[in-house]
Amino acid sequence: MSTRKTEWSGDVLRDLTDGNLDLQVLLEMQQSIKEEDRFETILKVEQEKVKFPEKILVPIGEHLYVVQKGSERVVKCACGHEFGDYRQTWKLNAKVFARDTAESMEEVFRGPRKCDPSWMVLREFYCPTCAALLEVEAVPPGYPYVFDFLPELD
Amino acid sequence: MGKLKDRALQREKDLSEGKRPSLILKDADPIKWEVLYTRLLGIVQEGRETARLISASPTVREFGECVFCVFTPEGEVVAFSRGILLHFASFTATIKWMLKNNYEDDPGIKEGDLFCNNDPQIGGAHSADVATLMPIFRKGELVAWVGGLTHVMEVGGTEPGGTPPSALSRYDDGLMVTAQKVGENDKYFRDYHIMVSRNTRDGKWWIIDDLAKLGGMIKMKKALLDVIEEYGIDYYEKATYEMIEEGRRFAVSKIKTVLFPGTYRTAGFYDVLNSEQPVRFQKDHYMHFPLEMTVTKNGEMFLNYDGLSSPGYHANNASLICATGLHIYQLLQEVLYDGMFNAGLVQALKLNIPENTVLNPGIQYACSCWVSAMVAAGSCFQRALSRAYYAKGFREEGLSGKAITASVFAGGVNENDSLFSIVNFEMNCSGAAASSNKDGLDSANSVWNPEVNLSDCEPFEPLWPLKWLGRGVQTDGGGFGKHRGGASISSLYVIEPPVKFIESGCYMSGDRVFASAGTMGGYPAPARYRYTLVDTNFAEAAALKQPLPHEEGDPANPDFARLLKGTLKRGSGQSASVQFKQYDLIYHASGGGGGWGDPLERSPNTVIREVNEGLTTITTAENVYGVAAANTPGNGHWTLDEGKTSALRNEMRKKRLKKALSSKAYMKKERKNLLEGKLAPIVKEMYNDSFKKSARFLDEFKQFWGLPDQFSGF
Repeated sequence: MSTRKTEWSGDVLRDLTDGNLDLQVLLEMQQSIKEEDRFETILKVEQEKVKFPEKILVPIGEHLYVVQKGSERVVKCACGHEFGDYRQTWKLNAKVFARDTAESMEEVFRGPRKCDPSWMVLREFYCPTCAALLEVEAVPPGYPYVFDFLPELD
Repeated sequence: MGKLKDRALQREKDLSEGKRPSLILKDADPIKWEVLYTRLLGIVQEGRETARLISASPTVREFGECVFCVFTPEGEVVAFSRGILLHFASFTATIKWMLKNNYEDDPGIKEGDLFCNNDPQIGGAHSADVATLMPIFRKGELVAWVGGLTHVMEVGGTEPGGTPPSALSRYDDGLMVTAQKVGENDKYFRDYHIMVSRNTRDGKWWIIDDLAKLGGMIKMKKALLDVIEEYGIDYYEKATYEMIEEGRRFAVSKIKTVLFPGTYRTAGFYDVLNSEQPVRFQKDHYMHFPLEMTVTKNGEMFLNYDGLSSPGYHANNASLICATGLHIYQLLQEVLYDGMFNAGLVQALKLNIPENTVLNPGIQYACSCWVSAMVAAGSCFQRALSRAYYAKGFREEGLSGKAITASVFAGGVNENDSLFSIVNFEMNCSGAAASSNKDGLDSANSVWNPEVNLSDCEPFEPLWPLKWLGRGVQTDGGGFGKHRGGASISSLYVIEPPVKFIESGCYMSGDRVFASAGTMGGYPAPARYRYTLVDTNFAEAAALKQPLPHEEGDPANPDFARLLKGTLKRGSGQSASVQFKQYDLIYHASGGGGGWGDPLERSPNTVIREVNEGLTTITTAENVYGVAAANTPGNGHWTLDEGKTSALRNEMRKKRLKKALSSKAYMKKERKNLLEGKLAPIVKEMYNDSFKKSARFLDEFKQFWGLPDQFSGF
């Protein structure tokens, strides 16, 4: 396939990483040939946005990055909270709220829109520092945490 | 052994050994080569549009539920039209099956022959998808195949509409025509159509679709032979194999460019609630779809469904061909959309779907409602792809969990004593999933056909006694998030006129479970259900010009129950056919897309705008999005209170941390529940099945929860 160097402005890429890109520009981007240097370009934009000093190796989700911390590679939230080694799921060090009753489910899904909590629960994973909702797992009771992504870094 | 069979086996051997053609013709004259490909695309598209114009079936004409294609002599896809792209693997599998089973010798493959297949285990999805294949000869040599497929509204089976949810085995699915020769000299056999007429409730849908396909394929045949004549057979043959190789190279290159290498995991689920249905095996089923997607730095992709649930005696299994087609189609639609859509893609994707699973069942299992399985698999794959795009920085791509789709069908005897059988595809226009930069479109997405059309109500109203009281986008119908999932379409029908007999049902999983998951903080789309209101005072209320219901309104106290008298029942989104009568009401909504990102990060102005548009309730605005609004007295218009919104969101974030447990504490509590066996029997059954299917899943389960070595199930 043909590729090209990125020509998107810094503002466009910042909006893109913020999730607020203008829809017309987004459409133009979707219709354009993909750039071979997009990853490196986005890394620079992401690095400028975060307050922590460690080098970002790869973004793995909204607010979440694998970063190089000395000789270690750890998952960090944009707020700076650290979740530990990237080779295990960051969820093990998050705060968890399980919607596993009809009452707690009703706060989000009204009346017949709820699932049956004996069949499925919602696990909400929050950053312990900034309280961002990082992931919602919809799984049967007792399901192991889903390890969403183990990046190949080397 | 037939000549073509030998050739097909040799081709498979060559590909397995990595013997692939060089792009000699492309390199020599890329314009000529590309023009040929464009002409082939034109041919398949012309076939599709011709069939749509001929077919009287609203499913084909209005919804566009058909697809046309050109193949190599061995059955590899050269060009595929728009339409039901899910069937990418179906025709190929059928041609290969015929060659493998010595069709060249008996019944013979000759010029003008027509072959029909709707057997999902040979090459398809369910019996309602009926394919016709035509071999193309030039100077006595088979040089290509063309094929056409339509979704037929009636194929027999346990219920009308072609996709019976009460089917419990293959033998309930409807009339199966297994790779059968059904015509010669470009004409269908008369006895074949007599057989169709007598074994379906209303054979005209099948027969007119057959004629529509034939019309499209005859045009394709002529155009293809003209192209071959113009380019020369040697050039045409070599160029088509080069195109397949180009398709493979493009796939590898694009995967390498846009997806971050690594291992991705997702899990999907769906339910089949047959314990409450009028079927002979009244048992519920809970399906588990664990997907591991591996993307390598070299652009290889491997999908592994180790631990996938067993098939069951219900309607919601999917054939291996259908599952293969779904993954290829999804890769095309979401990653390879700017490449050549041909057999080269198949070579770029490695798929492990173990035998005796819900995506690879034995011959005895029903597949009529395969959609549940495809949404579960497609949703898992889609979310894994999205994360891979996200990591690589291509945030303009990627989508959250796919929406479940549905169908409402009805059949019976009309006021003129004629049998009728209709399925309405409007419920396939589900909400599109949200993505990292935008909301999903409302009622604009279907899992298997990117070009599906909602259709007007009017073509259907003369055909069946379900009349629309209202049709619209369901309020709060998508998954909540920073970007919300597209909302589902919803319809309220009244039975009118008083036909002699009417039965109606619907199929759609995702009632006890959320079938369309959210991503990166987004919530899943709401659970699905249907309401029926029977023994109503509709006629009286209409005569007195009292307010009539047109939509659901408050789901916990729906408008139809508030405004009319009658017996209200909340039924499963998948409900087997039951009898209705004049003035009964049926409410149904399709699925919504999964949400993306933390709902507290959603633009408050967007939330308020959608409250005023009726897409979001004020309850959701406050409870889920943390948006405070004031109601303007007199006109009911809501305005944003920025100060209160900011304070409310801060308060909600504090509450989150207060009510949540540390992961360690949560896991300790859950582990205790597991050791005490505090799981619903259906959940235990689902786990035990996956443990038996996959030693790896069992080991990981034990390891995660710190269970004793001897643990082997619940």
